[in-house]
Amino acid sequence: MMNHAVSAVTVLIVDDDEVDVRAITRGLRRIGIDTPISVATDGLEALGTLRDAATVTWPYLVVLDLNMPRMCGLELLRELRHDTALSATPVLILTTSDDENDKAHAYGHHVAGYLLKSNATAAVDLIAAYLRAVSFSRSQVALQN
Amino acid sequence: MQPDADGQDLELQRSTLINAGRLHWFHWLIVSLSLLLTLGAWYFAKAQLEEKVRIQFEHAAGQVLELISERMQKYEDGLWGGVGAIQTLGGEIDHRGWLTFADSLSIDVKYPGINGIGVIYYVPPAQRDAFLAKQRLSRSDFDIHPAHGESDHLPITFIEPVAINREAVGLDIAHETNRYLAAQKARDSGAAQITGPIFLVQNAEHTPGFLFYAPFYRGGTYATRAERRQHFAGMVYAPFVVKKLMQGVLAKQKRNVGVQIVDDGVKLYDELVPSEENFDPQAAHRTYVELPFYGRTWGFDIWSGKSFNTIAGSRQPLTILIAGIFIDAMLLALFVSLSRANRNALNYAERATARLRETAAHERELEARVQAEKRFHQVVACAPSAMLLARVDGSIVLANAEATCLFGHGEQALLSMRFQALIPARDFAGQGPWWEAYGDESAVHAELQAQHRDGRSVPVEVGINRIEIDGEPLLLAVVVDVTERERAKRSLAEHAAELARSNEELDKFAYVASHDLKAPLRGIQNLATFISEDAGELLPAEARNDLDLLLGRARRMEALLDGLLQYSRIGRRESEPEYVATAEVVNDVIELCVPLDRFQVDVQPGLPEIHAPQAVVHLVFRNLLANAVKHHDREHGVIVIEWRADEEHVVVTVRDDGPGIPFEHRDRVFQLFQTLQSRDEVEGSGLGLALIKKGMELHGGRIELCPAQGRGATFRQIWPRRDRRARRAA
Repeated sequence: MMNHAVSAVTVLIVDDDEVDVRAITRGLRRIGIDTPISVATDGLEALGTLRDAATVTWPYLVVLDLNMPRMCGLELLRELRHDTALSATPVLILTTSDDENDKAHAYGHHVAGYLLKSNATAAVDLIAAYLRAVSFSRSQVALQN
Repeated sequence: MQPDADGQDLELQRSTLINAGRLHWFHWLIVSLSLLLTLGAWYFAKAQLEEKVRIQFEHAAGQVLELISERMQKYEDGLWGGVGAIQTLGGEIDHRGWLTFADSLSIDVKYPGINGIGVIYYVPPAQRDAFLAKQRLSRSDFDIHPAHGESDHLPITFIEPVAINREAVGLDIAHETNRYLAAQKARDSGAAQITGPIFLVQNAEHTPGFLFYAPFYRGGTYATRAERRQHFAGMVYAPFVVKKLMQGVLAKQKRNVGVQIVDDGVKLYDELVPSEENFDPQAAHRTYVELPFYGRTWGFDIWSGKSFNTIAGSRQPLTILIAGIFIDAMLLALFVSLSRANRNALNYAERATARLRETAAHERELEARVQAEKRFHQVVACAPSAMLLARVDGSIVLANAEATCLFGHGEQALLSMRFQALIPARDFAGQGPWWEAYGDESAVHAELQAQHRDGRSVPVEVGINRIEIDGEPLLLAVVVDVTERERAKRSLAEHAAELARSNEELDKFAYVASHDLKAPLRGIQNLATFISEDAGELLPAEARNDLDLLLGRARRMEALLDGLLQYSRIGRRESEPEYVATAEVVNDVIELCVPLDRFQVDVQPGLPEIHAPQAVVHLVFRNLLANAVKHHDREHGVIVIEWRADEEHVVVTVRDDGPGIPFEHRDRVFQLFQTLQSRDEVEGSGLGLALIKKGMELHGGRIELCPAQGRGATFRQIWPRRDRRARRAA
């Protein structure tokens, strides 16, 4: 765990809509959060990124859209939860779908939150709060060490 | 009027006839008077007859008395004749002389009933022997007997005919009181005298009798008793057996009365005994007469005999009575039979009339039946469906043209077939008759297969009714070829399914479209925002304004897409109806949508529950109230929510005092994306009322715009009423 202490938390935005990705990125940057942000345009790509980085980096915060080509958000969630190395990865759903079924499924796979894109500001605020909380607990761990 | 008058006339005649057929008071009066007359005639005749009979009886009785008197007179004359003969011979007559005299009298012929005629001499005791001696000169056996205590002797000296009076010869009549007293009276009076009742010694039968004396004196007749006693010589006498006398005197056959003669309590003669042939113990007439008879008083008791009744007892009154009663009875019978005949005639007439009516009614009924049958046949023939009339065994007796078309058999061929063969019933395991397999009379048995002649099966519906024609139970089957209908039904179902699918797809499309449209829209919004944020300061004022307009239009489009999403979602019926507490929903909506500093909301208390999904009810009130607020054109406004309910509906009206909606737009306002104001003036999706309409209609309700009454718009929601109670009861 020591080795990971210096590493920043990476936000992995999984979304095929470039504008949406930009909106989140802009939103985070505009409130002064410079956490590294990587982007995957579908579930498969995201899975690849996560598996490659699993051994060297601190787990990502995944901001996941549901409606995507190749592998949709719920499929990716299922894969993550069944992967022992990645099963603890925190996931925030950010989608246009206000379908109750989608919401139920997502929470069924232990997501950290379910946010609608129409309310982008709230999403950005939640991501920021999460990152600050993680950063604070890290600094505490670092001080103790 | 005419038949009525005729009817009244007939009825009058009928009642007259009925009246005439009854026995009336005058009939009874006639019969009674006749009976009275009969009784009167009978009584009068009877009285007359009785009088006549009485006279006849009295005549007969008088005749009897007269006959007896006459005969006694005749005997007296005979006795006096004997006295005269003796006087002529100087007071002495010998045996031969008396015999001659007696012969000359011809007793048997002239004096029937007399026992004989004789002479009794008075013999003083001193002369007894001389007398005996003198008599013994001619009759040596003559003697005076019997001995007695009287001083005088009055021996019967001669008696003729002697043969039947032998015992009397020499009998001294002084030996016995009756004989002696009468002799003394005759001696003293000089008149003929008869004795009291005695039994003649010569009468072996010992029936009562008497002696009749006529005295004679020596030297003629004498005026005084003393002289008569002094010169008394003897008496001519006749002995009588009364029975014999009477038989002589009264020829029984010729009279109709019976007589009893009593002298001093002794019955001299008695015909009033049962042994008498003519005796009538209940004699209708009887008379008792006492007559002085030669010194004695004889009582005559005379009764009418049986023969009297036969002769005198005329049956005339009885005949009159019987004949009268008979006539009366005949009269009554005549009346009764006339009345009965009248009644019978009337009855017959009524029966005949009834029979005629019955016949007429029967004929009418027959005619009606013929007509009905004709109509029935016409109906069957013209029926647009196949009709078969079958007997209870299924054999067909009537088939119409449609039936021949349906089954492909000619009419004659059908008439030789059975219903069961033409349309086999399915799955019938019942115990009842075969036709029960085709359902009961009230039901139509559907989806059966009729067997066409060419082997096809034709889908049919069969309705069987039991009817009765001329007393025969028959089955009338209506067979409807449902091929076309089935096809249409299938087609309709297919269309409906297709439509549902199409609707579903449309909803899905609307949903997906609106959803998918939202992503690029959001992109546009984001990008416009990025530009505004990044380069806002650098842009000319016009470009900045355009950018604002772009963002505004994007928001509007977002609202439209949200509305569309909502609209399509309502169509997907995601939630189930429930009993919604309307009042609570209304309160929530007021709180949410109505700025209470500007608006006053009056809600009629007691809003009833509405049976629909809560979301729909919420949506309806939310949109209506939001519209009322949004479109209001004044600073302050009033919204009124009222309701009423009947058995079938709950009606809620929402009325505001805003600008109102022209009534001609009553349909348009409920169409999708229709707004009556520019969206730049009043921001709105144009979907609110359409949403309400769709939501309500999906759950059996409807909404309408009410005609304007003054300011403001009034919307009326009409929900179907589904009470919990009714539901429970159901």
